[in-house]
Formats: sequence, structure tokens, C-alpha cells
Amino acid sequence: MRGLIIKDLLFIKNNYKTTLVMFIGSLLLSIAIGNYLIAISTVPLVLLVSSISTFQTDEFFNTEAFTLSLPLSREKIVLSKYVFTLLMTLVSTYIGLVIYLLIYFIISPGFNGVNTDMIKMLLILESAALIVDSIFFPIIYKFGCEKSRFVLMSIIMLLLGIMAIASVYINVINVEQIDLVGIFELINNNALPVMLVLVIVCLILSYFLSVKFFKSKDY
Amino acid sequence: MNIEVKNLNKSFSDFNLNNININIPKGKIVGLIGENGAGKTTLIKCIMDTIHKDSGIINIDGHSFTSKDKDSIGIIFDDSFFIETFRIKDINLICKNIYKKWDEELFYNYMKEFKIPKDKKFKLLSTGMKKKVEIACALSHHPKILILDEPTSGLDPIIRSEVLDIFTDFVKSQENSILLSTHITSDLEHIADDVIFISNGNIIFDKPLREVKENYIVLEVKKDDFKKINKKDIMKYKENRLDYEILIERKKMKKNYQKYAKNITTLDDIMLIVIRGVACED
Repeated sequence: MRGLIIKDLLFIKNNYKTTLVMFIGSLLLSIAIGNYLIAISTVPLVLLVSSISTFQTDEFFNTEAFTLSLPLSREKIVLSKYVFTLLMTLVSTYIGLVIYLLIYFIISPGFNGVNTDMIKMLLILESAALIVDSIFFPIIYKFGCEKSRFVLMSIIMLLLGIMAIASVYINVINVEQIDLVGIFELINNNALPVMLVLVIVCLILSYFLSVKFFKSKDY
Repeated sequence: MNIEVKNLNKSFSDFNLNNININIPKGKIVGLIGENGAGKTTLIKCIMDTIHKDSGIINIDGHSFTSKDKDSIGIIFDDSFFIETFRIKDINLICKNIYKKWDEELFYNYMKEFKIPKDKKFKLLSTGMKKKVEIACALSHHPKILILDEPTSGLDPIIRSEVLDIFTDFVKSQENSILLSTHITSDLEHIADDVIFISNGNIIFDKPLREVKENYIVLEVKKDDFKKINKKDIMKYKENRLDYEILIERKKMKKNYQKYAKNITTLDDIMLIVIRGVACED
């Protein structure tokens, strides 16, 4: 399994220029408009893209058939993708903190946004990226990279449709009776622990679904 | 090590592998021949479990095949499977962390022998060189069995000959074995012990090469002389523009057929008539 994780890490390393351009671009954009959250939020975005790009590369170079000919069970092959994603999370959190310190000490010493909220935001974004990955992975294992884009679009369209229908009924309810401010405060105060629990649940469910789909697939 | 495939079946919407029974014994090179789409790659993928079989048994040294057994198998697929941006040293690093018996020194020796620098990116290699890297990978973890799908395609005759020598050396110990699927049947005529001929998902024959070459004869008969051949002696025949090519078994060879017999009957001749020829109607 270690070999497969190394394979994905080497792929990211060999394509470091794209990642570097994204980081520098977001940092420059942040400085230009004075919103440093952009620089920090790019990190989880890169994590999200890098995990999914390894699937695309495997599919493009027909690496799946080779991977399956290695002395590894299908469970371990799937697990390697999740371990790789978690490793990328650690790396991107580290890079996010470095960017944060850069902003704090060098670029804009003592800027207003410096507080634990910024780090909290980084961790929430990392968690959100992991949740998106955990939704994406089983879909990729089931439909492949190309089709999964359409599947994901369909899911988003379906959700938007449900929300549109729901909004009609919500209008019937007396919104004034709902303490929206209270709900938002509750979410804000508990976002990090809630996200962490959600990430763990999503990853576990996602892994088992991915294994189920990968086990039934021919390459 | 030996591999035994029993009653293997696999169905697709447009193609079936039907009741495949083959044996790849220790110390033997078994050639797998057949036209494009005959089922050679599907059979190899079923053995390697990259596609699921519908039914059947695959045994390795008498026990049921598991993913752990793949540590003893060197594989080459028809298509290249390495990520193009990787360098040779990256491939070594990956394999080193996958195969228990990966021999880094042996791998780099092959690279030296094939004149491939370890810093070279895979995408910058020629088709033949890419194939050589795959061959080196298949051999560098000291496998007991090689499963090779078109391993010599894209190689020039000199390198092809070197590679075939490597394969021959591999089985010399009488402990190792090779399943070699190829379109270049002349390669098999040099090194194979047994030949499996597969067509449209069915095994046509599975015999020692010597027996195949001794048992089958191709006659080249002018159109006017075709009626001189007893229809009952003909296995299959193929009509060409000027003559007929007729496949017969040696035991049915008669004196008056001698003048039509081809000097050398190749696997290609046999394969071509079996696939494209027709059987005689009674």
C-alpha cells in the first residue's frame, strides 16, 4: 500500500508547478484586495483538486489494471487513496499555517484578522474539502472520473430542485417564529467539532462504499 | 510454480469466454495466440483478477489464487501503464515499496543493459524503451511466473531476440513458467513449449508446439486441382485469388498431396486458415 501512496505523492511532486502557481496567485490576490482568507482558503481547494487529480491520472494512463495486478487486495488499494488524502490534508494544513504566519509576521504585521478564527476557518475548510472528497470518491469508483462529473452535477441539480420545492413550503411556515440568529450562532460556535465528527462519519461511510464499488468493477 | 485454469467463463454483452481450461506448467513457456478480440487479454485479466470471472477456478501451485500470489507474478499488459511524468528512479521507488522481493540492483542492471538513464522521464522514452522498462519491472522482483501480453511489440528484431533470451533463461531452472500472449507468432516458434490457440472466446487447441507443427500441414492447391483433394481429409480451407490453402492433419496426408505441401507450416498459417477458412460441406 505504501508504494501506491508514494505513487500519488510523486505525481503531486512532479506537478508542483501548478500547485505553486495557485498558492502564489491566491497570495497576490489576497494582498491586492486585502482579504487574506482567499490565500488560506486556496489550500483546501488544492487538496481537493490534488486527490481527485490522482484518480484522473490513474484513469488516463490505465494504471488501475496495473494496480490490480500488484500483490494488494482491492480494500488496500482503496485505502491507499484515503490515506493519501489524509496525508495531503496534513500537508495542506501545514502550508495553510505557514501562509497564515507569513501574512501575520511579514506581509501585514498585526492585521485585524489575526486571531484563532483564521486558523479555525482553515480547519473548517480542510474538513469541508475532506467531506467533498468523501462524496466524490465512491462516485468516481462507481462511474469513473468522466461520468462522475455528470453524476455530481445531477446530484447538485437534484439538491437545488429539492431546495426550490422546500422553499415554497418554508414560505408557508411563519419564519419569524424561527430563531435564525440563534441557529447561526449555534453553528458558528460548534462548527469545528461538528465538522470533525461529520468528516469522520463521511470518510468511514465513503470508504466502505468505495470498497463495495471497486470490488465489483472490471478494469 | 504452475497456474491451472479450470472451466473459466466470463460474459460480456458482445463477447464470451467459454469454458476455458488451460495449464501453465513449471519450466514451460506457454504461448497464447489468436486474432484481435479472440479473448487473450480477457483471459489474462481474469487470471490476474483485474476483471471478475463469472465462474471457474484459478489455482496456483494447487491452491486457490489470491492477491498475495501476485508477489510471485511478473506482468506486462498490452498497454503501457506507467504515469508518463514519472522517471525511472520513481518507478523503482514505487515498486520497491510494493514488492517484497524487489531487487533494486537487478532493476538498474536491466536499465543499464537496455541503455535507459534512471533520470529519464517515462514519456521521453520510445515505445520500445517503455516496453523494456515494463519487462525490467516484471523481472526485478524475482517472480516465479511471467504473464506477458504482447511483451515484444514495438521492439526491433535485435532487442526482441535479447528479450526472448531473457525469457528462455527465466524458465531454465525448471521452477519458473511463462504465459506469453503475442501476435508475433514467430517469437513463439523460437521459444514456446506449448501453444494455446484461442478464437472467439473458445480454445481451439492447447498442444505442445512440436505436436502442432508435426500434426498440421498446409497444402497450397491451384483452383483446378482442388477437386483432387478428398473433402473428408480437409479440416478447413481458405480460398485465395489464385489458389486454395488447405489445412489437413498429417495422418490424412496422402502421396498425391505431397507436391502441394508447404515446406514449412507456421503458426500464422494454421491460425489464418482456422480463423478465416471454412469447413468442407459433406
